[in-house]
Formats: sequence, C-alpha cells, structure tokens
Amino acid sequence: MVAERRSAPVRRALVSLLVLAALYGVVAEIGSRTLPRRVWLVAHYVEDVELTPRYASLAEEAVFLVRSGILQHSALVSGARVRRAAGRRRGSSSPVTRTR
Amino acid sequence: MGRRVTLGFLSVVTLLAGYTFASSTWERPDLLPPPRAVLVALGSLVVGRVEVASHGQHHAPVHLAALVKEGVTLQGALLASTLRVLFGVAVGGCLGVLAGWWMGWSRAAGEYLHPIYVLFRSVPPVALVTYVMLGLGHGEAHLLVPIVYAVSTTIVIPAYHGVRDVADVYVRAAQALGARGGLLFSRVVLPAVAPSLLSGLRYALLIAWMTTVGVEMLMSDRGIGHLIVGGGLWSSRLEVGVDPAVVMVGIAALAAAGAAMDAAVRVLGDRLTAWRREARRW
Repeated sequence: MVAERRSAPVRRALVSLLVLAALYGVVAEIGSRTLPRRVWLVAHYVEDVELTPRYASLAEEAVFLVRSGILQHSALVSGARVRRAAGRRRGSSSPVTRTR
Repeated sequence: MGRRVTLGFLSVVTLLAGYTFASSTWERPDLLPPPRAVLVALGSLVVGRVEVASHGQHHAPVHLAALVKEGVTLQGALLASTLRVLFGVAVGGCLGVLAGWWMGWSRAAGEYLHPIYVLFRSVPPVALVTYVMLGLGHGEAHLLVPIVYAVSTTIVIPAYHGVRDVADVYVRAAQALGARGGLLFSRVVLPAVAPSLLSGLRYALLIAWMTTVGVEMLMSDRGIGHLIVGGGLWSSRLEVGVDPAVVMVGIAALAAAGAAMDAAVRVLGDRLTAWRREARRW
C-alpha cells in the first residue's frame, strides 16, 4: 500500500511525459503537412524549414550533432560557464526561487 | 518610512559620488565615462538631437547619431520596454498563477504537471527568440513571447507554494468552521496566498526586465536594449561603435524603471496585505 502510494507520482510523471510526447508527435505530423516550408526571416527567405520537426528529423539532426561533437562541446562549454557562475554565487539564495 | 527614504537617498548619492570619483581617478572613459559625458548623452537622448563633438570620444557621435537618425529617444525607448514588461507580467503572470494554483490545489494535477513544468522552466527565454521569429515573423511577437514565458515560469513556484504550503493550514481551519465555496476563496485562500504571490510578482518583474532587455538587444528596433547596443538592425550593429555614455544612460534608466516598479508593487502589496500587520498586533 505504501509502495503503491510512493509510486503514484512517478507513474503520473511518466504518463504526463508520454502524453506530451504523443501530442508533439501529432502536432508535428499536422504541422509538417500544413505549415510553410519557406519562411521569411528578417531580410531573406529560409528554405526547407520544418517549424514542427517530426521525430525522424529530430533524430537525424541529433545524430549529426552528436557525431560531429557539436552537441557535446556546446553542452560542456555552457555547463562550465554555469558551474563557474554557480561557484561565484554559492552561499546566496533567494527564498522566492526555492524549488520542489 | 522617513528614515528608509533618507537612507535610500543617501545610498544613491554615495553611489553617484563613488562613480564620479572612480571615473576621474581611473581615467578609462571607454569603461567609466565621466559624468558630464553621461549627462550630455542623456540630454541628447531626451531631446532627440545630437550635439556634435559633445565629448572627445571617437565613437560617441556615431552611436548617438545612429539612434537619433532612427528617431530614438530615451523616453520612447523606456516606454516601449515598459509596455513589453507590463504585457509580459499581465499575461505571463495570469498564466503562471493559474498553473501554479492548479498544481498547488490539486495533488494529482501537481504530480502530472510538475515534470512538464520542470522541462519548460529549464529552457532560457532568450533561446525561444529564433524559433518564435521563424513561426511568427519579425514583429512584436518574438519579443513578447519570451517575456510572457519567462514571467509565467517564474511565478508558478510562488503561486504553487502559496496555495500548497500556506493556504492549506487556513483552509483546513476555515473548513472546520464551516466556510465553503466563494467565502472560503475570497476570505481565506486569496488573502493567505497574496503575500507569496506579491513577492513572486516582484521577482517576476525583475526577470521580465532582464528578458526584455535581452531580447531587445538581440533583435528589436525599439526599446532600451536597442538603445544600449546602438540602434540599427542586428546585422549592422557590428558596424556601429558603442558609446559607453549612452550605455550608462540606458543602464541608469533601467535601474530607475526597475526600482520604481518594484516600489510600486511593494506599496501595493503592503496595502493588499494590511491584514497581516493587524494580525501581528494580536
């Protein structure tokens, strides 16, 4: 009984994430058929744009970013900056920004 | 109250005196422009006219001239940024309060929505600019959406904690005494949550100003962020020299506007939660 109560939040979290993922899949399917592929951006057109990329496109892009090392390198650089900033601010916290 | 105002005034005067002293002794006008240069830039930006060779900096006329040519004034830029901030706080605040309230009120809703909220709040607002521009074009939307997003994700937490942690105690007591429905909401829940929401609103205003200036610096043709980076479109900004005096005017205007809004919310909060002072007396 206690174990069941404890697992309820985890189950609900998984359900909500799955629903979100499924909803995105549906939106991406509809969007890829209806949204324009040629988009005006400030001063020129950008061709072959997927405003709501399908999972296949996201996976393809992710594989490229991982294989080229761009994703890991970017994450490392940004992570190092965050760590440095957090190191400087250590010891100060705002009561309003407390999180669950 | 009088003591607080006097001390606040003294601290601002000390800051200005310290700045004047530092700028005159350090002699790096590219980083700390002398107060006279800042005042000249301020005058030019207020009246919308450039005094050529106002101070002996190479880039100063270029920066000011670019802004004045575009019809930029300090009050106009400040008004544009303030309206964006207020829009973000109004719309984002309502969305954030509703989401936080729902998550705090219903345990099931909290457990379902919390992981999604964590995913969304991890995305910095400025990261949305390019995507929103692709979808909605180069107008106001790409500036307003990140501000609304930043405010709503910020205010969820105080609303959530206000409802879940603070109100719960009062709600149980009021329910035990027979309060229900509208009476319970207007006389118990709302006053109990108000302090948490108001402190969240002050923090959200800060975040709204940060996001507004950030998105304006990235891509905008109006506002304080645009004034600070030197005007013109993003692509041409590298060609425009930046006058530190104009940047200083922009920073001072941001500080004044932020402090004024914060003070207004504090005064409003004190009035709305006057019952707490009464309660403390007992």
